[in-house]
Amino acid sequence: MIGIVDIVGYVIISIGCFIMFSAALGLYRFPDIFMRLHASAKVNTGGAITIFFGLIVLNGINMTTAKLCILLVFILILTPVVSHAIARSTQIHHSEDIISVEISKEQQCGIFSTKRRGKT
Amino acid sequence: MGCDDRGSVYMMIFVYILFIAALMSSYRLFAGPTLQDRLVSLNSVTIIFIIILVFLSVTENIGFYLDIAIAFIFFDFAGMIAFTKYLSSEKKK
Repeated sequence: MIGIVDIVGYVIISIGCFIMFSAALGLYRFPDIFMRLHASAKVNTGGAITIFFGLIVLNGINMTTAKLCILLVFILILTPVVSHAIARSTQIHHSEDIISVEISKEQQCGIFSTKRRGKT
Repeated sequence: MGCDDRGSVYMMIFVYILFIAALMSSYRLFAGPTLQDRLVSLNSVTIIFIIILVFLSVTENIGFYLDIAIAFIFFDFAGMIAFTKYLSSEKKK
């Protein structure tokens, strides 16, 4: 028999699966490396946190919930760090011809217009 | 949680949806124009497989899959930081 807590947990996990699927769709369809990072980083982190929160609601309080909390905190910390490192590596390693949209000199606010900080 | 048949069926539907998402993400792993696209795709696929591992652990009551998931995210983090440090220090042509 499925209670009200199980229904709430399944609804939260369904929302998380939809968020992860939209992250994969953005990674598949967007035309640019920075757009793909924008689609992948935040949405993957949010979807993973939503799914783990749904599993915590579904699971009650026991040892599995403690390990899920540890995993949730680690994903919340480590995934934005990795995305930031990949974006910084792209900024240092590539020139500005990989951007697919037209950005004027006033709009691009110091991203590629200044000297690269990693090269000194 | 109640590990009856209906809950297990729901969990397997979620696992299939996440597996389709992993296949769509791994398209960029083979067809990415730059090398950082492949890194983003590999990171996304790793997170999706960590979530699938947690689903299987909770569904089938196997406890040590969660420990494997915690170790796996640390190895993913170390590998990504090593790759990006190498690509940042490479000389631009």
